[in-house]
Amino acid sequence: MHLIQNLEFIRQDQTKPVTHTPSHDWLDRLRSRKGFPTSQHLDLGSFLLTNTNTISLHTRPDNTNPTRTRTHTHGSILAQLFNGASFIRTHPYKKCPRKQPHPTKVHPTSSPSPASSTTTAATDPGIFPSNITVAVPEEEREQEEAEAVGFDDDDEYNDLKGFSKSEVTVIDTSSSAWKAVKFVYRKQNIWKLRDRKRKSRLLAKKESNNTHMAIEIGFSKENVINMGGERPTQLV
Amino acid sequence: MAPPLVKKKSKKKTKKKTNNFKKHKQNVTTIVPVEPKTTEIDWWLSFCHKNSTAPGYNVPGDEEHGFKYFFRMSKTTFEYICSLVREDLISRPPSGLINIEGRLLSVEKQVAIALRRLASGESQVSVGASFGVGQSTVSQVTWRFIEALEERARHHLNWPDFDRIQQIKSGFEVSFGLPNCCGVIDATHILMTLPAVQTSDDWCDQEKNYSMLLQGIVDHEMRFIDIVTGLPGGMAFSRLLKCSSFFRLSEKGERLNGDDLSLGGGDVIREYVVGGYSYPLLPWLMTPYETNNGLSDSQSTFNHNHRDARLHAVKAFTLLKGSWKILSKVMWRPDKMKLPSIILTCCLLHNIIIDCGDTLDPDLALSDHHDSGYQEQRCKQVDPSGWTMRENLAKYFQHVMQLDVHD
Repeated sequence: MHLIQNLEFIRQDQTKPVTHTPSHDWLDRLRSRKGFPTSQHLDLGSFLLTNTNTISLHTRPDNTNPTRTRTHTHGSILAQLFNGASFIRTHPYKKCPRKQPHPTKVHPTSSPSPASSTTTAATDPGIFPSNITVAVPEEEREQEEAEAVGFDDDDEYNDLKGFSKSEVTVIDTSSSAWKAVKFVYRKQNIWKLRDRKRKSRLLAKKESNNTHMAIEIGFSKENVINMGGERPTQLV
Repeated sequence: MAPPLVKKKSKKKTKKKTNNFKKHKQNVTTIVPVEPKTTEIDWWLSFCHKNSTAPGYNVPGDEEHGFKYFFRMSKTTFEYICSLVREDLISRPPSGLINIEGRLLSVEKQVAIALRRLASGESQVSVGASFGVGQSTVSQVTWRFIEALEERARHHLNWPDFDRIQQIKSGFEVSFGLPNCCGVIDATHILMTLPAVQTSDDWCDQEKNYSMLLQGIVDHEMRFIDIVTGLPGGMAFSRLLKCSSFFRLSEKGERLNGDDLSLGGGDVIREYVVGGYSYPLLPWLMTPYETNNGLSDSQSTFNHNHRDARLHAVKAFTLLKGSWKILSKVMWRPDKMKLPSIILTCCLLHNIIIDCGDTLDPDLALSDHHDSGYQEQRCKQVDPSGWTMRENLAKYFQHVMQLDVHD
């Protein structure tokens, strides 16, 4: 809207007879500041046409239509004259993509930048960037391993600060249950294996009640027989 | 596939029962008739006809060998496995396994589908196509079979009792000259890919693959007598051992606590297992001597026999991964909580084949090492009692060598 008003103003300005009155001083000052001639018989149209080539150097090389170029150029000059360069874009506008065209992969557990991650690794033993492998001397590793005999399930959990945690299903045929869901904690070469915390008493009680109910009703595999392709018969 | 009507009905039934008896749903039997017995032969004939000339297969001419080619076992062993899981496979069938006539797939066909999936490691779509069923059927059938077998076949994978241990010790002494040896320990990586959100350094192993570990102790007949699986590939084998119940029991003297073998002069050889350089030297776990310091004759003999025994375990793992190719292929984004059950099932099947008197086909073994591409991570931990025990074994070999010279 402002642009249209400004253009209208220019059109009127060009058609008006230029008289040397004090009201034109501001226009002269403006013209001279922008490098335009300030003579009274100024033919702005011819001035703009003669300066097209010079100014069109700033246009994009792919903008080949001369008419369009000129229009844009005029618009640009007029805009510069009255509103400053920022108001009207002189080049065909290309929207900047919202996302990066080639985003860099950032590991969820890694630090924001490699430089900072290295520093973190060196200064803070609690946070270890996952993309960096540290060559631990064998003796040290063995010592760490010896210290971290982590299968004692009754150990406290508060010594696991700085450890990564993964939930795993472990099948161990030498254990009574064979299959158990456990947590693996890791900090560099120290590994600890912990049982998942036991369920609350309330849950256990609920389960126990359900068990009794199922037994009372008497659903089990044992009291159902299958009669070969027939519908199995329930034996009460 | 079942028509939508049947599906809906069955789903409703299951849901209702699940709500009522969440923890006891295994005891609830959904009533669905099983395919009549006559179709048991039909599935094999149909499968054989469809796949015997398929490209990429080199199916033997006779039917018995053809069956073994596809399912890794004889028909007798197959029938035995069907009998183990029959009850579980006919109860609580998901709607997807009920055909258009409202009948459940026969147990034999279900077992065959699951075995083929584990044996070939081919995609569920390919396995489904070879049986004329859909991908989701293969998925459901395989998982039901795995769940059933890991419950019903436990007796095929357990620590041997006293009598059996005597047989094993005798077997190791005859085959490898190792007295009082109860098994060989080894481990392998089961490779997989993980979705980006699940990737973690824990699962990334030394060779920068995502993997899950399988530790197994093998007897003289290549049977697995103890396994541990489910732990991340980033762990060293020595750490995996320390996480196992076998380690805990052995350290507490509740395992490998049978009769010692006396050498005279107070020296004894207790029960032990042998393992490679990846393991610590412990009183009950014998590792080889380091060869860079020069070895005595008795130590060399120990190392030689020790290596043969370890190769025996390598062979067992190679056969396991070769027979059940799902373990040797890179699994695509498996459920890490379910993968241990798949691994266990393959070990159970391996043992069942041996227990039923079938022969493990050596041609099926992987052509390379079971953990090819992985360097052996050396563990330098030496327990003084373990060192003494190994010296005693070396003395034993020295004694045997002297006897041989005199003879």
